[in-house]
Amino acid sequence: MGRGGSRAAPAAAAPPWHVLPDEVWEHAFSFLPADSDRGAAAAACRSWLRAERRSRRRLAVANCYAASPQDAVDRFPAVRAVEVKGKPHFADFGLVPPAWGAAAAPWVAAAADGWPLVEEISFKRMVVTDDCLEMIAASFRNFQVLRLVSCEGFSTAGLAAIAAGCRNLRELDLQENEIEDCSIHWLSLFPESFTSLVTLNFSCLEGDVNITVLERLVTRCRNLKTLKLNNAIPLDKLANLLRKAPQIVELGTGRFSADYHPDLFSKLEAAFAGCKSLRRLSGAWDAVPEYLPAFYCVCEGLTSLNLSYATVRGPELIKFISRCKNLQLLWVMDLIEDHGLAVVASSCNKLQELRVFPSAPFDAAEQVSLTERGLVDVSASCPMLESVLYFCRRMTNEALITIAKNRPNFTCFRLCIIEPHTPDYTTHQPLDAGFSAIVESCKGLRRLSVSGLLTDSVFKSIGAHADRLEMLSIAFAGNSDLGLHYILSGCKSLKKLEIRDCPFGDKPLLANAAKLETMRSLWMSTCSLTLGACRQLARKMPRLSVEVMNDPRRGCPLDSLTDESPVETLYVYRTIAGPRSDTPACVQIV
Amino acid sequence: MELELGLALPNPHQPLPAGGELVGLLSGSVGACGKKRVFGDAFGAAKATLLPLFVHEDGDGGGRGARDHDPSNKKKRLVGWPPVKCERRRSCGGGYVKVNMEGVAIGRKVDVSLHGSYQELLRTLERMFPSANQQGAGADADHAEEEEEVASHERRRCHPYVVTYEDGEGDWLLVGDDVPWEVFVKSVKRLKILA
Repeated sequence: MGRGGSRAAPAAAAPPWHVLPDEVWEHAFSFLPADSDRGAAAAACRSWLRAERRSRRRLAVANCYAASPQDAVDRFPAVRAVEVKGKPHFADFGLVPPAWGAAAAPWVAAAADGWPLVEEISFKRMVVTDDCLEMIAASFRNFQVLRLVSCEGFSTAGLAAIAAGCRNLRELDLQENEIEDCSIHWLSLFPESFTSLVTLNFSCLEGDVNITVLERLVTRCRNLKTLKLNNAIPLDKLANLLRKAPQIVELGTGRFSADYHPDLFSKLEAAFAGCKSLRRLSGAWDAVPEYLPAFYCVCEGLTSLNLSYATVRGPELIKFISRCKNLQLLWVMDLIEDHGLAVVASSCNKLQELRVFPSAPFDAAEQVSLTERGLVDVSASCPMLESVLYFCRRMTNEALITIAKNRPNFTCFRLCIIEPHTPDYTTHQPLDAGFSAIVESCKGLRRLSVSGLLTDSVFKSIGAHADRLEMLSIAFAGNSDLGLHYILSGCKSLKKLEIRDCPFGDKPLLANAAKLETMRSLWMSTCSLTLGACRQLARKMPRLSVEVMNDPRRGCPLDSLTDESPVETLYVYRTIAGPRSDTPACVQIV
Repeated sequence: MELELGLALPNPHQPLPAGGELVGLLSGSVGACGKKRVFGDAFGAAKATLLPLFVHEDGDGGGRGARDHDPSNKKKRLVGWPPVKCERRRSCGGGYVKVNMEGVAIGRKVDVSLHGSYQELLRTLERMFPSANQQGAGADADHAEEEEEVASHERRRCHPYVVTYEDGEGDWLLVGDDVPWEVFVKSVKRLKILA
């Protein structure tokens, strides 16, 4: 990879910076915040490539199979913080077989060997075992941050290893993982001398924790800024914890439920009054409306409110939110209804991100009055709104067009109309016009999810206008191959495309094979693909990994199936690591 | 004597996948991924449906064959739709519950509401947690297969596990027919298999 150090200046007028040693470039590159900027610098010339990769401290591997762990360690020897993502996004909804892969173990092993100075490890949608956690605890002397998001495969025994072994731990952030409860009191394994914790998030843990131990831990970690509790913490204990950690900036309350008692209410109110730095609040899962006023004193300071699992509804909920005048992020259940969102619209003018989740996603009979109205109101009155996730049961083109006109600054727009193929409920037309308006107006749109009744024509608009779109999710939409062709032949910046239950077939896939190498990944399930097309794609594009997941009734091995056999699920991604060797039986790499 | 619906083409070459959840959702049509057709999956192919990820809630086929969706039945459920995470499904009563087996470190998840009957659920559980004698049979493929074809009839009849569940009140009860299926689905919080 070229000689180290400076090069002798050529005789003629080479720019003086040409002779600067690598260390200077490394220092310069340390000011580039974004990986993409560093990547661009690395592409400029060989010496910059060398300087950049040798000094890179933070590495994000967006697809654990795009490169091998050893490749990563060899290429970037100075990494201190690594993030690796595994399963495809649709794994969140149960569409990926559990044994699919994404084991964290090879990454931990390679890091233990090649990056002994690693301080931060994040895994998302990966299988992390207790062995992995033990290896992390044993291998990195200055380990500080462990973040596990939507992972599985480990238990409280692994957490115990982390607690016992990571003397300099600052952050233990467990988000939405499946954690086996082995009844090991892992919290007790933080030594009495351990005081460095800044973030502790165990909200997804289902078992009990020793509250006395937790209180002592919270008391001695004076720098604790984020504390997110699980179900097991009763309300009065929450009050005690808050009194011991008044410096808290982010709080997850856990259940927040108890029968109403004026004494307990006062205790809570007083505890919250002491938390002058509280900015982000989540939890309140079974919140009793009568307790919500206990939060009133912190409302003014809140910038982030996540009530997405809180089943509380009614005037108390709305009054509470309306007092949070500085909210930038609001996640809430559809129990807020349109009239609640109207209040949000008038009270929370600094809102940047809104997510509204369905309280009864599987029960069509459940009547919650949340419609397009709520979203229109918020988009009209919140000028900084740029990110939306909205589950509802009805929509109109007119509403979408209005929203598009009000908010050309959207960067993320995800609309999920719960019943597939739902048309505009006033005109009974497809929602093509509405979504087209969104992509035409929102020139900075990076993420889009479409739903409802849609024809190929909406994809023509998306392909033509969504120049900055990086991630697109499509379900139950389109009428023919053309739909997919419009997307793949347009959408200049597309990185991730995930499609389910659409009548898209082989032709647009093969016609746009080259496009797939410019993207991170493509997921297509329950479409109209055949095995022959997948084989052709794999032959044509050796730098893509073409994975086919079987309909189990078909039987294996794939080799014996004909080209005409339908393919239930296709997952294609670019990779420099060649075909992976850890596929389960129901996944084949063609 | 209930006729067991054919579940899949027999396939001795595929080991049991860990894909219990996905597989369980296919109305019991799991056979190809099942080991050695132990659970009586050898009775002919399931009818190929156009949309394999739809599950009909009209109960176990029970010999009547896979019939068309009856409008009087409950709404059919799609896999993974609407796109809400598993945690949310659990709290919204989607039927997703944890399953643990005594002696097995890592538990699994199963969406109870995507099954039509106790029979279906127990079949899925058997596939998720193959018992010791079935696992041991892996070594000697051909020989074992013959034996198991003979034995499968009996084994199917007496499920080798005792399955218990935790209800809404925190009590642990035996999974069984004394509670109507629909009531069970609403009240089950977790499952535990006693070996």
